[in-house]
Amino acid sequence: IASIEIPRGGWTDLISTLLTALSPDNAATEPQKIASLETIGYVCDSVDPQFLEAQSNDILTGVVACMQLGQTSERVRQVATNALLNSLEFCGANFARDGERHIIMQVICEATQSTDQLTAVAALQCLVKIAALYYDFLEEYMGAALFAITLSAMSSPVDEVAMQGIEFWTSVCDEEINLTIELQESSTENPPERVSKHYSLGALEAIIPPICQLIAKQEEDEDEDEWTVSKSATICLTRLANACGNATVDHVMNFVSPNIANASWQARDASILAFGAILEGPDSDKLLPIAKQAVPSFLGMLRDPSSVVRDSAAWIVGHMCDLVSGVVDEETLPAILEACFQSLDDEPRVAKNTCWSITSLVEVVHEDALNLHPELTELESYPLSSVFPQLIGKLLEVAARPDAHSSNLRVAVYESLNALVQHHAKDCYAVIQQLSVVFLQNLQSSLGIKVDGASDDTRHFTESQALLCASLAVSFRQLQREDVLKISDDAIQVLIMLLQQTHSASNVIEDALLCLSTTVELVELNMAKYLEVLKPIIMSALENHREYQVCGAAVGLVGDLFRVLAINMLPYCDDIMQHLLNNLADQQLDRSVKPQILSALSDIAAAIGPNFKAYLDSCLMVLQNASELAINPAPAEDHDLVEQLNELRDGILEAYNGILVALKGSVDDLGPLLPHVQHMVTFIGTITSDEMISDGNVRACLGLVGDMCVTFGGNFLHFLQSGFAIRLIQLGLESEEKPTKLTVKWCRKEIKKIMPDHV
Amino acid sequence: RVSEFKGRSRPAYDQAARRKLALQLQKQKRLQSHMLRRLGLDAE
Repeated sequence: IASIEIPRGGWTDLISTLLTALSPDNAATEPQKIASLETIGYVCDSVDPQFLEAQSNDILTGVVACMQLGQTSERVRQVATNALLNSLEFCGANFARDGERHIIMQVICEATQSTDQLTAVAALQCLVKIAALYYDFLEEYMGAALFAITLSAMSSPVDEVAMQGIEFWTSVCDEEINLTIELQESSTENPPERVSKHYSLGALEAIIPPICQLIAKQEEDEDEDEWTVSKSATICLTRLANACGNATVDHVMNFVSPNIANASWQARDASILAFGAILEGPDSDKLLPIAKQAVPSFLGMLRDPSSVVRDSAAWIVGHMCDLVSGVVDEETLPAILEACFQSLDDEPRVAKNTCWSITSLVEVVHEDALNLHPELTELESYPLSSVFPQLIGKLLEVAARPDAHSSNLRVAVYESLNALVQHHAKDCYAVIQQLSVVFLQNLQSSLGIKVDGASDDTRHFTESQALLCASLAVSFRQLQREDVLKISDDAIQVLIMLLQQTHSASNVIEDALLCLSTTVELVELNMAKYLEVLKPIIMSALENHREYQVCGAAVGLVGDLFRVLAINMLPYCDDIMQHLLNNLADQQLDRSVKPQILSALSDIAAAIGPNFKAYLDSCLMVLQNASELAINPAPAEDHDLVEQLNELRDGILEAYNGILVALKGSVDDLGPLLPHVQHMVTFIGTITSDEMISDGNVRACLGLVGDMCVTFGGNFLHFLQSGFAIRLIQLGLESEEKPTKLTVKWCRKEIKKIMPDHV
Repeated sequence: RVSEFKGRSRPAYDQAARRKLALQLQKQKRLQSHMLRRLGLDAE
């Protein structure tokens, strides 16, 4: 009730009423005090801190009094500590005052020593939160108390206590990593207000040994998703390595080296996890020799008697490939490949990690080979060429394993296959050609199987079908057009049958539509013969607003079809346009689909040319409304919103551009467009003055301005004189992207044609 | 944080990446056709 009432300014006496029970003058019973404190805790936890700030003094006074050692029962102290934990967020002003802060820190530090485990855990949780919220005030307490308290907590036999000791340092590191980034991003003239005090670096020597020991604290059958001391310690070490860089390496290696061959599987596993934790942060130069030396040991651990160790060993191979540049070379590659081949036969969780390692390995080997030949866009051969067919064959064998549905193994296999297809050399081409046929055959044979219900089996089956569609598309993108044409009719028919099946799951429909999009680009006019049968499928997908990603994939396919088949799409245009305009107007449809629809309008207009005038009025109205919405800037700190807005702006600009292209040939047809030119110019002007403008926006604006110069010629002159184009050209010239550079060059040329003195 | 452990945050079934790629490719093709047309205009 409070979470509804308090933000609206209601229930103003709630907190004071609850605090009355805590007053020393009040004869409240212990259960009443506990109930009041619990309620304060819940209220503080669920009400936005800004609405409680005004009462922070009273809340803190009441709560802290109940935490004083010897003043109350241990149970009251425990509940009060929890209430304080939930109050910390709105105590900024109190923390800034030395006297108040000292009292708060003192009662918390005392509570960490409580013999009552729940009180001690809650007090340690307070310290974890304070490290994140009030890092700048830690200095007085770090050396005097916090270091010793958290180190001692780590040695507690009680997991919950040890975990909070670890979490404190993770929290400190998170803060220090952010402060270091802020410092790096600032300039000397404008240094950041807050700086890292490097507490983690100072504590490194003392805390790494216990943290490494805690990584080894594992049980045999732990749940993967359970948060444990071992996982907490591993993540803490990852953060320490990020915050302290090279300084972590030697301390961690002092633990890793002797434990790789330890008799206890927990210690062996911890040595892998600890090494994996420090791969991000220290310099590659420091890590590379150690990593290369460790490769044989880790590969040997892929045959460890413990499956937990094998799981970690399979993970670290890929993790090293990802993070330690140069670890894969002609010396290590054969051994890594051999070990991976064997591990693919291991139990699903190990085989899955091996697949991820293969995926990373393939990407690295391909990239390294390309770096050796910067003049090439495609490699004739590369170090995986000799094993390419065997590797593909082995992965297909694993995908067919009866237990491939466990631990997401099959998904990982397909991702590895996709990585191999995308990162191949020319001498592997024939294998990819054969593989595309295998994908198609597998998809074909899945058609007859009908699965019902929401069981795991159904999910695994539909995932496989969706993956096959995706892999088919990946292989098509790597094949020559003439080779795709050899199987494209079969592929399109299978995809259509899949889409016609009423029981097909939405992820299958989406991936099948995406695969058709890829295929359309390759088969071009050969697609025309499928339009009749595709039409109801596309319409139904466009109407699928609930599974909006299906709708989005159908919108994408519509755009592709129009771009490729151009005027051949005219007979279908009325129905499709009606659906698209309805979708644009539908407030319920997810907003991520709207920019895609606007872009599709661009494809449609450009494809059907002057025929588009039938839809002109309704489209211009939609575009005017959309651009009025898209003029308001998004808050710079909300990256998602900025991205969404830029996509919407891209879509609007593309749609206007498509319409311009469609009508440019006929002066009469341009008439309805003229009243909108001022609006388009204002829209471009607003976008170019937004600091969060994307490169795509700049390019689309430049394209539209250039096309307006071409279309309206001298009539566009007075719009240009308003000066908006100067900033736009400037943005274009600053771009690093080649297509934008080309577009700005072309746009300037078109501007100069009608305004020769333009700079 | 449990998803960070041993790279578990890596998406097992990465349909989002495929969506993003499809959109990128469509944007590229659209841009390509505009560029070709503009270069054609330029040549004229």
